[in-house]
Amino acid sequence: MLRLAFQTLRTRRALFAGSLAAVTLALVLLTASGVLLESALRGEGEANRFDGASLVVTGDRDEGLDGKDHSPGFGDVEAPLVPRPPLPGSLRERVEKVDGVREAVSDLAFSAQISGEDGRLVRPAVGNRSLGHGWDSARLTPFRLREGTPPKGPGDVVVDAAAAARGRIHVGDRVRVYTSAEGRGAYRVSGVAAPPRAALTKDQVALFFDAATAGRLAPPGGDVHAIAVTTDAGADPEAVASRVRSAVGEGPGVRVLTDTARAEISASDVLFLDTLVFVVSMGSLAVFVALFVMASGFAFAVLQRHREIALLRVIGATPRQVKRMLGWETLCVAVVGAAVAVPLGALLAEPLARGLVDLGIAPDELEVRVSWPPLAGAAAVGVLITRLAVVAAARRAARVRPEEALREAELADRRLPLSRVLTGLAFLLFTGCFLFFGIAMGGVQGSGLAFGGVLTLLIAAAVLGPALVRPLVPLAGILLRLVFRRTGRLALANSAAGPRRVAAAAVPLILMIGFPVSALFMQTSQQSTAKEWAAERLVADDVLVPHDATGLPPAVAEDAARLPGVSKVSATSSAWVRVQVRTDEAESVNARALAADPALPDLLDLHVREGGLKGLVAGSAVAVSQEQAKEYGWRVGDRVRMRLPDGTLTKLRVGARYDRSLGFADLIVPSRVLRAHTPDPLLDAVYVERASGAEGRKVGEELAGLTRDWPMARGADRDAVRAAGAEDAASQTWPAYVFSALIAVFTALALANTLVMATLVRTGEFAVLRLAGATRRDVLTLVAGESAVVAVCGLLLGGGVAAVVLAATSVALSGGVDLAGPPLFLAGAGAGAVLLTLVAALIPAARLLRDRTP
Amino acid sequence: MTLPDQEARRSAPLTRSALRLNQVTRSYGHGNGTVHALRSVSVSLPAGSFTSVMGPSGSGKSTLLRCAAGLDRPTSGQVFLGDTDISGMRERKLTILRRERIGFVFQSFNLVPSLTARENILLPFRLAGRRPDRDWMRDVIARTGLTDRLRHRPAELSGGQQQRVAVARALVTRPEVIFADEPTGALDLSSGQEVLKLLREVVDTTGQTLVMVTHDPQAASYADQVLFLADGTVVDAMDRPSAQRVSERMSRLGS
Repeated sequence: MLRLAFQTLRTRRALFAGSLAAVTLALVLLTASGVLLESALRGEGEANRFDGASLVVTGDRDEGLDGKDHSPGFGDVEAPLVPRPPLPGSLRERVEKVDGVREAVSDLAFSAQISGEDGRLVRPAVGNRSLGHGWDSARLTPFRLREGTPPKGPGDVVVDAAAAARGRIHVGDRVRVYTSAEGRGAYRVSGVAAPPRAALTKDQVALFFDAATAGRLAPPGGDVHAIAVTTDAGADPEAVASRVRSAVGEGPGVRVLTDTARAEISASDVLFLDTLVFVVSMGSLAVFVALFVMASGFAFAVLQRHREIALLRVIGATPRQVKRMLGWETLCVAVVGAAVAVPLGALLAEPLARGLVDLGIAPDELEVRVSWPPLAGAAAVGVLITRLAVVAAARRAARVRPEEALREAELADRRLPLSRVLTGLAFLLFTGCFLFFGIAMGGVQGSGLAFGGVLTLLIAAAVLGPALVRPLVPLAGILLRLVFRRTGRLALANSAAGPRRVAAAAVPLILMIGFPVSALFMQTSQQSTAKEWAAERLVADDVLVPHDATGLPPAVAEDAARLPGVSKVSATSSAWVRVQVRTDEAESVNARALAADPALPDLLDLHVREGGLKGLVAGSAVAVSQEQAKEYGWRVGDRVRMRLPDGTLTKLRVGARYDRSLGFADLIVPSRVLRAHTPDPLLDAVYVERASGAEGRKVGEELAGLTRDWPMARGADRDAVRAAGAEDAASQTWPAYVFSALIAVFTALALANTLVMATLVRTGEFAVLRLAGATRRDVLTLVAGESAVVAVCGLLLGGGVAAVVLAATSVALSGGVDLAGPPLFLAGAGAGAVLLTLVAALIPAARLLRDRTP
Repeated sequence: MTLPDQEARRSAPLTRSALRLNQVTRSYGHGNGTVHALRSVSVSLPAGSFTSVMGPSGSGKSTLLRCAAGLDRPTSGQVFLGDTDISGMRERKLTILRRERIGFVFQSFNLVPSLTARENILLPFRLAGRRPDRDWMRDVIARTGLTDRLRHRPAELSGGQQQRVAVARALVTRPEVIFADEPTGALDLSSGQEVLKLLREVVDTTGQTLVMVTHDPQAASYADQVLFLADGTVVDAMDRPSAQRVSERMSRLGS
């Protein structure tokens, strides 16, 4: 059977070219994705500010409310982004006494921003983090003075060289430093220091103060950010680490890290996560699309080889042997595909990585190293997906009856076999489940669940293709007769007589339209909904938001409240808290919570659905989004335990549930609970209400003056808030475009393959037409007409899939159908599909006519 | 040769029959639209005989061939290959039986296009996972005159050569019965005659049984006997036919 399969492949290459191309392309992408995935996983935790230390003792973000360790499970993408909580500074003495420790430094890290010569805030090369430390901490990187002296008095600051250059700050300059503790402070630059490699601190501005000043500016309570340890020369860091562990009593709450890079979250860590998400999406998409394209390719190949298979059956091949033959054939396809694709994919990984870095989705540190597991994995997946793709086709081949070999006439299109109808209905049912449960669940997650229906619905459309195409053909015919008067009728008759042939060509189009449109429009619709809601939520007249900064010092809100013409001010900040999930003590998760002061309900309309905000205002209750409440299993009235950022344990009542949380907070905690227990809180936004009767222009001027004093703040009125949302949104949708382009390539392959095969067998038919007096042009018009039918069917079905899924995701999110997206993309996808179909059908037809008719 | 129904009345074992149809009916569809392709046909073909089946289009000759060869199942009645009742067999057993005991030659599309002549001839063995009988194979290839064509693919062979490959493949497993469906239908006159001579020679020298459906009186004249079908029943039989007599008989059948 193997030989037979091999021979078939050798002589009928055209039959497998499409599938081979599909599996090769998929494996190239999969291999590259796999290599990048592995590289990104290895790269997480780049060397950073603690590079000069041997060990770092830090707080533990994975400590549960039960005091036990709850390390995040696989796939908890956000987990690495939760900052490590602070440590009691008293631990330093214990660490210092451990044998092998040369020095233990308490590292303080607090928000400290500096403005440059032009009065604007100085930002790091990447992101906008800006931190202050004691001069002690300088040696952890180590930062060394380039110019000037260390900070000697309360008015001195040492600025890192990169920041100094960017802000044109020189030794001796008077500068403003903004901190939570003292608001605005005036300092003199005593020195400029630089780390051994700029990359170590490229994502943060570092300011160094003398020990007393740093202690004053750091959050009160004596807690430290980390304790960094340098070991004696010659001491084994691992051995010292284990001694330090026993000295500080490592367990939940405290961690001793020998990999000092993991002590602090760097901008690259965040980007590595983006890289992971991207490559996983790309790899799985490639696999799905290849599966889809190959399954329809194999099915079509079996249809074309009907007579040959029947002949084999007559001569004595059992149905199992026929199946096995196809199995071997596809295995050959997979092996050849893998042999080409895996090395190619490995080579492609590097340029792809550079591309991702350029697009800002991967960090500069992404270093591609090719190792065998992703390569072997991709090859295995290749075999697996070709096997899977051939299952349906092989079953159909096994059902070919031997007597069919005796028939001289071309096999007529039969009705869909029952098993296929049932498969299609099963996938429709799955789709129904996705949509139903998605809508029932609601919110972003429900919307995501409903989106899962796009895959099953696409499969259902492919399986039921011929049945779905049949009623669409007359519809396309109306259009056809308008465009092609003479040959339209024949094209229509041909299409109507062979719905399977039409469906085989239309299926890739369904995919090409259905998936990208769904994926992109779901994203854009969600963004537009979030924007709308944000605008509706806003009751305040003005908002101050951070600009080029991680947050605003709390003093900004105090200053705003003092402005004439301002009647009310409310500020929000956010922090990670550990909250109890359901009623189980042991189960808890890290959650990002918004701290809201009592005036918030007056300035934001939270859209409360259940309960009230009295408790939130009074400082005794939290408010939670509908979606999060469902996930945490919280009901209004429940009392839930939580650990605040400084380690304080508390228990609060759930006072209200609100919806429309998309793009807003999932959990709101009274600021007197949360902000009071957040070391160094920065404000996310300051909402301002103008006093009735206050002159609008005047308040505006006052606010503008405020933002001059606080360069990290930017004022915005309601319209500006909406516009800002739109800017953000546009920059997040490009992966959808990349994936759309990817699918288009696969579709082009599948279409070309199917249409070339379908056209080549029509030699006789074309000859008859030519003999009957049709010009070459007439025949080509006929082919174009038939392609138009295919394109119309594909567009209608693909559009239908997208419409159904998008409607469901929108209903799940907002309870109504509210879709938004770039109309140009829609038009482009449609035009692309039509063009592809025409080109893929006309080229082989034209060649055929040229070859056969001199 | 006797009329088929007389033959059926006689007890079977008298002359050992290679193929026997007993009251075989095949109908398609049901209700008012039922088409009776075969109506209670009983035929017995002795081993080592060459039988032509003739009849106008739609007379049921192809259905007869399909039912007799186990490619189609009779609606009622039995088909015996030797002593084996094949009418109720499961698909798998039937396939294996076809592989070992029956050979086929069709009008066209007889060969797997991706295999060479030699590979096509050996295909039944490959499917069965058995080794071919070398001497017999050499004999068959020599007899069909394909010795220097074995490495060619079907597309590189003439129609007559292709048909000879098909005959060789049908012979190579030493089947009890060979079924041929219009084997000369797609060939020019001389190639057709070559193939017919080959078939005749095979029956005479190897004692295999041959059943051939044809509408060409000239082809039918190579047979030992001709069965005439009309409207799904056997209406006549003729021993030692000549082309002249066969066409006379056919014209009376209204073909």
